Amino acid sequence: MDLRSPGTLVVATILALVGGYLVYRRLSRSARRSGAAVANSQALTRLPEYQHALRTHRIRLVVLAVSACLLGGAAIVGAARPLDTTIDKPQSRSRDIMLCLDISGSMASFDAQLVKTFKTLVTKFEGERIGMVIFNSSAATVFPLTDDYDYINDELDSAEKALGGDSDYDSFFAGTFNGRGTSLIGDGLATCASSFDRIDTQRARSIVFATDNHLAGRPLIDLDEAGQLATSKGVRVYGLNPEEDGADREAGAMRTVVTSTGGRYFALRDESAVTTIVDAVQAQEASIIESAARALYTDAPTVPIALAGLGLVGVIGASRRWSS
Amino acid sequence: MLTRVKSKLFVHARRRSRGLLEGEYASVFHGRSLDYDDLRDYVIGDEVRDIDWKATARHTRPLVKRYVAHRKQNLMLVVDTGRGMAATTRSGEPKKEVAIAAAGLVGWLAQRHGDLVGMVRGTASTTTAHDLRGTEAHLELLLRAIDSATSLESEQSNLASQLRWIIRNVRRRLFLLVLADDRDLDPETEELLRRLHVQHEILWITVEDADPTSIEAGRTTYDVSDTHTLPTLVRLDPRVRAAYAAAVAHRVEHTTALLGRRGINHARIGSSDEVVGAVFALLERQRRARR
Repeated sequence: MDLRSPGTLVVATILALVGGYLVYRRLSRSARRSGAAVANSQALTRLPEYQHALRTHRIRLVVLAVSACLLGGAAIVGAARPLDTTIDKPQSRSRDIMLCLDISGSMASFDAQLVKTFKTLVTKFEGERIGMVIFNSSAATVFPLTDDYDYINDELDSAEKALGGDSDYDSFFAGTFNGRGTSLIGDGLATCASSFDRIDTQRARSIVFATDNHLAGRPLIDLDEAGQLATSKGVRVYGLNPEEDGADREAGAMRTVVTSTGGRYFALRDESAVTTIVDAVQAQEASIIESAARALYTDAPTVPIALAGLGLVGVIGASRRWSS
Repeated sequence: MLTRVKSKLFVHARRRSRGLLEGEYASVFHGRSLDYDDLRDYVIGDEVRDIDWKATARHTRPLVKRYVAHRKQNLMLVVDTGRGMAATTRSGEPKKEVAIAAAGLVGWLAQRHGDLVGMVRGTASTTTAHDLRGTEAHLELLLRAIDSATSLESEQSNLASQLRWIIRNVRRRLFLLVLADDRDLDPETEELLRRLHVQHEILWITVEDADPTSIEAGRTTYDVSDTHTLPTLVRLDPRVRAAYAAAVAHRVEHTTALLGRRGINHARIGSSDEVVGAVFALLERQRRARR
């Protein structure tokens, strides 16, 4: 425990000692002046009543002394303002992961399971920033990149409920039907790839891209172009395909695009998908944003105040019969 | 010293009762001879058989024959000058003041009566004896000796040493006026008293100790024997007070009973103002006891 003003401690201790000595000297002087000498006091001190009263008196004195020391000590320490020091190391690992979910009709039956997979995925990370984008005919951000894992879990919970068909959560899908057609895969991936912030900093960026790549409509950007965009931004895309119809042509195209960005392709039923993605993401050099560790000082008066209170209770309790 | 004792007597007793005190003393200390000296007024306390009835018949008031003291009586003051006697007594004065007042008063009466006054004083380890003499200057010397010998730096008190010294060294018959510390008489002292009483006549005055449970709270109270301080709160505790009062009452009763068994008259004095009255009462009792 640090002290804001250790000088106070020294000065106050010296003052307390000097004050105590002066009081003691004065008391003993006045005692010497007005002392009454008596003889044969054994007649008194031998009495059991006296012995008993003496014992009680001594106990009370000890309690009083301890309490007074406690009160004084705690007051002095409190006056020196004890501080709680927390060394704050901002540990933002510079890995960003964007969860990118296709919510088109063809995916409807897998989305709930995919969100579960995302949740499992999220539990494996710590410190990484995670964001989520859903897309159908247009893409919408569910939550931007954040390391607030409570928030992330809350959002994934509501996503799970919405995708599970809970009508209370219909607003979840807002903003995903603005384009022409449905299931515009390339637009979705491009949006995801563009959702990373701090583009000027060197960070490991990944997209977990869950889609069946069944295009229905005319996207502004096709999948290949989106893949090139991701590559140009240094984003790795990990594909997660439910593969309803097995490894079809679309799946093959998706695998090509995904691997071209440096990522991997997984079928949803592939149980190793989650761990492999986590390992792959974590294997990327996490360029930690080094900011200097700084110490945070906060006043921590709880202990001295509590001890002083205890001491005060002791002093009052022990000296209560003093005056009577 | 002696002047102070006398002034006390003059302040506290009117002329008449001063004579009364002398009469009381004379009755106790028979030092009569057959040599008639003169007549004086009768005062209460005089022996009735000393009344000169013929002279009284010629006079309006009863007259008492005074004789020239034939055989001088020997009054031996036995004084504890140990540390305990430097402590406070009930009135707040040092106990030795009371001792000096009592010794001075009886000594003065004796000296007026023509008797010799000597002293044995001391502490637990030392005993000093003073000669028997009949002058006022000698009495003054004795009182000064008590005063200077008794201090808080003296040895501890133990009157048994002085009593033993008397047994060992004194052959003739004495009047002993014992000025004792206020403590329980141990079996040793009791045995010494038994032996002393065979040979001598004893008057016993206990100088009371101050009651530590009634000294006011502002004064630190300590024991003279070991400077042990009695904590104020403890000694003023009501239960301690009650217990102490009971213990003191018991001790007084015990001492009185013990001395009474030996036929020794006993008085407790706790203030030099009470000395005159207490000595008078003591002599009175002694006179009655001797009849």
